[in-house]
Amino acid sequence: MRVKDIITTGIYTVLYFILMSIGTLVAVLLTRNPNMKFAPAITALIAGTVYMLLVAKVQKFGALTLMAAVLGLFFLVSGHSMLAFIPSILCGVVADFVAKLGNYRQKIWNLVSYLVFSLGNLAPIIMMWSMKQAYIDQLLAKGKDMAYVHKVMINFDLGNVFILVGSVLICALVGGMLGQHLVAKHFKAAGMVV
Amino acid sequence: MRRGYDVRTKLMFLLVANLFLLVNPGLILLWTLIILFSLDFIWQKTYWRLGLYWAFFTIATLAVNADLNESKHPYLGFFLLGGLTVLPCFMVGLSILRTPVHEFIQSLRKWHIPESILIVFGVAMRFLPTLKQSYCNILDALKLRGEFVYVYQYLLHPLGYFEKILIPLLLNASQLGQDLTIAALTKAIGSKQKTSYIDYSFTFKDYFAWFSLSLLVVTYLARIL
Amino acid sequence: MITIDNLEFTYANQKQPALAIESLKIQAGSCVVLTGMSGSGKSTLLRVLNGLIPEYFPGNLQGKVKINGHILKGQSIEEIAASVGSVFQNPKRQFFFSKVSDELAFPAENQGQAPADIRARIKKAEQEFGLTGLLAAKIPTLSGGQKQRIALVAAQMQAPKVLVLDEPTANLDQVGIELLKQNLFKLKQAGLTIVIAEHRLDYLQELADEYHYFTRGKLVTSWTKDDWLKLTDEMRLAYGLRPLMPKKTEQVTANEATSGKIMLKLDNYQLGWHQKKLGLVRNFELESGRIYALTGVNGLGKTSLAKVLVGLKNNHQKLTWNGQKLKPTQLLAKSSYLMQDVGSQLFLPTVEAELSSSGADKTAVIKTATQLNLGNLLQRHPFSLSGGQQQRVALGRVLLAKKELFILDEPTSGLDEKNMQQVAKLICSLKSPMRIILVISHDYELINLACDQVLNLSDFLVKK
Repeated sequence: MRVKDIITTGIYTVLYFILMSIGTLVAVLLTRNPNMKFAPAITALIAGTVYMLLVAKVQKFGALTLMAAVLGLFFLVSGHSMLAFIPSILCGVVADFVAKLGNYRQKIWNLVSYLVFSLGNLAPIIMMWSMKQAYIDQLLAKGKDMAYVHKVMINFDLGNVFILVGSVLICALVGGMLGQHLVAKHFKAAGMVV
Repeated sequence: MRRGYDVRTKLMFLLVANLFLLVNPGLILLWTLIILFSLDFIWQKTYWRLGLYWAFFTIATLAVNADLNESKHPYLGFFLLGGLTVLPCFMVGLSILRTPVHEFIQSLRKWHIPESILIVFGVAMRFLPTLKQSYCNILDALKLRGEFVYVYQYLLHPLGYFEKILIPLLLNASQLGQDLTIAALTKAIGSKQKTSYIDYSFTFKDYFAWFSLSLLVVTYLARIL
Repeated sequence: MITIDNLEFTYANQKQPALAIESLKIQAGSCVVLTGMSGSGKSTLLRVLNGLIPEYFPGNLQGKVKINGHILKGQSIEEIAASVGSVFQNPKRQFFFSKVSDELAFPAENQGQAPADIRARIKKAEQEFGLTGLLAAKIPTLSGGQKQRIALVAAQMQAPKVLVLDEPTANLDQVGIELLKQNLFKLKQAGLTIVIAEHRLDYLQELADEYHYFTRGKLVTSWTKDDWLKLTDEMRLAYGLRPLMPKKTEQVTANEATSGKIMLKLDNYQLGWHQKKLGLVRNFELESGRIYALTGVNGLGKTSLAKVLVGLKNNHQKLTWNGQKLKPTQLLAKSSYLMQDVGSQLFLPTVEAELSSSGADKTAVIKTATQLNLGNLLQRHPFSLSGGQQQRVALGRVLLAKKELFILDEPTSGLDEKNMQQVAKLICSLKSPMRIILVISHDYELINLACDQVLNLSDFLVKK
């Protein structure tokens, strides 16, 4: 990766981050629920264009990893735990490898890559779960019993996980295809992308 | 002339705050951390911000121990406890992000953080205000074309709003990227040996912080192990 | 200092060479001007000199270039940066840092200069280039001219032997140009070799030692300083170059104006910009049937005023249109406004679509496109075009709109002589009793050609 690729990655990372913030906001407003469960899904829906553009412009290994790393660092620095950082980078690296399979040019591999990358956004949600455990502990410490706890907490179970992951994957599919379409429609013609 | 903690020290604070997020250390350790970090605000003389943080911490501390009817207000309790543990992370994190770009990059360079990450941060900081301006200009141009002048137009066509703003933003961002890259290349950004015209080294404050943090972590580990 | 032998360069996706020079020698310590119409190869040569070609602009590079005795080929752009400093056209888009001293230090830090040396250089630059008190300033708050000055000083921090400037005055007003000229003199005295690509040549009269004229990549003519001064303005115009002394007329008799049917008036309006109070606007009146020019130094508030007139900012009921107070939304419906930031005004995927979105029919679109030298670019995506071409597309769309109030903010910044004249013609053709036209510009040639009356904003602003 050359300097121009790094700068490009920097710019698109900021854009991705902003879209992620918007996605989170929209998710919270739509579900009228401060539980940001669907934030990664909405983000996956709207950030497709930025992702596809980055892949098309750089076409080298490292851009996606770098973006994931910086986003993970943003998570870290904005108050999420380290648990959010590691899966985020991991998904980034894997997404990079996946896109590489198609030499960063084949639509299908780029799409799968985007799916993987978007799963990385679930990382902060994982953090929320760890906090739930702490809350439960604290309630218990205050002398409440488990029945009370169950009344209070929303149940986290396997079904929830499936819904969460599924929603991200579906939205990423739609968002990724939309992104590829927009890139082809506007950016290829503008000569910004080969 | 910095008056507070070095960025790297703040990163240490962040790490410890993160640690406390994993398993609640109890109010005493949490408050110690908060007080230690508050010194930075005092040294930098940003009292308002500090006041806000402390207000929240105080309210949260009092409320968390009070007897709330949690089943009626499940989220309130959750927020308060969550807030109490998350806010230190947020407080430190925001402080880090508000470091002047030059200091941020040069300090981290001393820790041999990869150049690519430093450049990305530098570009990100540089880009945000320009992005805001681009957005305003694009919206102005759309208004002149009769779009999004009235509120109902936003509500009826949210997707159109999105596409019509996103695409020009991306196009402009790409062009800005080109200009910045060209300028940076001609200023030898790709070179391997870089220096800093200001020496950002640790001061007594930082050594004090590192020492205190170590004590804090040891106490924390002793408690939970 | 610089010797060029059989240089030829073709950009990666093109067939024709963008640059083909048999031989060119530039003496150390001299100031050399590269000129010619847009696209003639001036910028390409600059890019070869500072290493952007082939590092950033891939393509086929042939021939031999030597700078200060070293052959350019094989050097990395970082190595070249030690000898060549660069300044670019747009002051807003070439800075990395917000604080002036950080930006000045940046190139020196990258080169690995010793910290004490860098600090000393900055101190020295502070005195020499009049930056006292500015070292801690935030670059975004400075005027265009000051920004370019910082860019210039930053470029010389690398201790280069050669300075390369690509149309540095395109976005500057007279004050900014004067500042640049003085600083270039200082650098020349210090022994730097200066290579400038420019359209606006009048400020370079005393500075330049040689002029080289390019057409389609080839070096066609060269003039020494004396030769150049001996040319008449007619000869310069024949080359497509700007005349030397644009007449600076402040008041031109409005003898061609037909009697106005629409009158726009703004009075007692507090002009502001980002919480900064700029003054009270008194009795600012525009009539249809004539073309106005709005002048005034940068930072006075011309753009702010334009936004109020057009309806992008609230006029607090201080604006009347034929005696009637109008709300901003009503003004928006009547206005067609060309903003300075060209990129944020282009939305559609082809030039033709963009021009047609003005509401004009196909024949009008084609006619305007041809007049603006865009005839063969109609199917291209606006963002694939050069800066000047994009500007003309945005301008074309604004001029084709069926509106009543037209405001153009710097329509010709950076355009060469031929295109500027076409723009002037187009603007003139718009004059009608149904239209109010206001041109905000520093380009006195354009004003002379197209405008009937010049208004200086400072005459209408009352500062408390």
